[in-house]
Amino acid sequence: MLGRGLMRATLGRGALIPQVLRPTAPRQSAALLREAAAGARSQKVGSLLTIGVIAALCATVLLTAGRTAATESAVLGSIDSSGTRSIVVRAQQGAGLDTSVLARLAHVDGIEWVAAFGPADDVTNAVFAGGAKVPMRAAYSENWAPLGDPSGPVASDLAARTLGFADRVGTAESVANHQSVDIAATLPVPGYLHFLEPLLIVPHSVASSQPSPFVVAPDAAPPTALPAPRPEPEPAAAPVTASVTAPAPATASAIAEPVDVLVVVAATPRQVGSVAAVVSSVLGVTDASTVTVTTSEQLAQLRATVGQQLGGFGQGLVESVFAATAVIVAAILSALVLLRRRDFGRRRALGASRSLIVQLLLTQVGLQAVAGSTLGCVTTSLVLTAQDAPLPPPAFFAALALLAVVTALAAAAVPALIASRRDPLRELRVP
Amino acid sequence: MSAGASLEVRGLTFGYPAVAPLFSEWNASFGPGELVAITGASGRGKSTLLYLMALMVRPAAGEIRFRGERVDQLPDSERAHLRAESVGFVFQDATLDASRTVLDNVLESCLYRGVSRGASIQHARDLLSRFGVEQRAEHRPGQISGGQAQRIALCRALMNDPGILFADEPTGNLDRASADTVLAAFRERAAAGSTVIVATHDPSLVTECDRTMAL
Repeated sequence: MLGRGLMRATLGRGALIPQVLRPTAPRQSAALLREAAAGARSQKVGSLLTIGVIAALCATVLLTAGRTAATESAVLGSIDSSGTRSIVVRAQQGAGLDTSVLARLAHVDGIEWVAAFGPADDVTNAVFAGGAKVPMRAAYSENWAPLGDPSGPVASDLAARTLGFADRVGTAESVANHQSVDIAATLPVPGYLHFLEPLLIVPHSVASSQPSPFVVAPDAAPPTALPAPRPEPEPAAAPVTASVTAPAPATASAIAEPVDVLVVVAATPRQVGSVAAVVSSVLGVTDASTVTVTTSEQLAQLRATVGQQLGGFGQGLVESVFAATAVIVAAILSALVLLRRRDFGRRRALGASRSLIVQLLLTQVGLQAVAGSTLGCVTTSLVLTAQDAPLPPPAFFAALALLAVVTALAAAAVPALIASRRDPLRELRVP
Repeated sequence: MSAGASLEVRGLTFGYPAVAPLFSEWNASFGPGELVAITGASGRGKSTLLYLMALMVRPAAGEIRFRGERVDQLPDSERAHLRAESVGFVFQDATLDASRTVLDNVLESCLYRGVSRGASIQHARDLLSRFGVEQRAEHRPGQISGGQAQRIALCRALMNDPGILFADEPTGNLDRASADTVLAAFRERAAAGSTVIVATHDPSLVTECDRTMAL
């Protein structure tokens, strides 16, 4: 049996065609795309119907499951802002909790953010005596982005109002030692720090590049079993045991400053329990009864339940919409194939292979589906925005558009196969 | 097999369901450069024979050979490739795509041959010019006459410089002048070494052919 190359060599007058006309794969793909686009343009009614059905699919899903997803995102966001991922450690005065704990936590997996807060020092507005008092705290962290990267002492909106700062800025004065502090900016307070309100802090940066104190030496016990290194106040902290790599001192100060509140934010709600256990093990306090560790595990469980319930809502509807769309697209294409049977017969007669006919129709449907899903997503998001309704996350849009295209292609497969089997003799021969 | 035949048919048998076979053990041989007329009364199977020899349909029995190589049993994809590369076909009613321009119709087979459309446009325009329909290049088939449509169908069939050209009643809808143009094109094609096989009732066309086969 002849191979294609042999056929071309022995039979092809087409071999006389100049080499410049020979195909390349990208050219062939571009030609297929152009032909499919031209085919879609030439069948305006069928194309508009297909685009309309796909757009309706996207709109229906966005207005049902999409809204639910947006609501879910908003509800979970609200729960998260209440501190689903936070672990709060409160230490009694003299408990021994200090800033060295930050270095020990710096490289623990599962922690998104951590900060320590020193003992409160009440301040009032320096302009007038006897004003409302607000606790001012030294704050220590290696990452100030969640608090707006303050460059100096900052007060939350509530603290500024409590102090009577007209423009949210002013000078506060310590009640204890009458030292003045200029408050030059407003502090954005994330949900997990609301319990510290009214919040006024003096930020201190802590080095972030310290090796973890819990890089365990080969002969050492697991980190959770180790006592936390207990740095001395003067000079800088030194290695405590031979089995633990000691942290370098913080940049703000070589001295470990005492703190009475430690806030740790886990990377995900599911990690709250395990991170809390690690945090408890590295606090470095001698008497565990002097500290209280509060986690949001129950809130995290509530979050998971809410997510599960809202996520499941409307799933059946979405599946039904996709199934109905597939049936409608398949029906439209089947009708088009019937109407265009002479067209496919001609293409076959002129040398189109069955696979090329299938590719042509699938590409055409793919283009229509992309147009339809884009139209549906853009229009519906505009409607939702106009109604001030929450929008689903971008990933939802992307997944919906992809699924719509895949559904259309799957629905087009059978009509495309039927089209590819049109018989030129039956379709073209004039009786 | 006849020496030098570009197309040979041996023992060809074909029939439509529930009807007596159109051909039974039919044999023929066509040489390069030959212009052959196939004649016969309506319903004798002239068009069907062309479709069979152009590899658009498989015979019930028999062999079809292109330049000595059997091609009727090739897989569909290879037969399609042969149709695109080596065969030209002029249908009885032109069979143009009504939704596309004349130029698009002439260029249609480029996609099936995997040939760049851009590089083929000049060739297509040259053919349209040669058959006097270049000014219709951007028109739709619905905007042209039947004679022009048939000449455009001929342009499409010649785009791949075919080794074998089939024409099914090519002059049936044409005036004398157009028919003469088409006939001249067939003569030229045959002179270039192609085999040209025409199914026709047109006596003037038959008399111009090298050979006539009656069904």
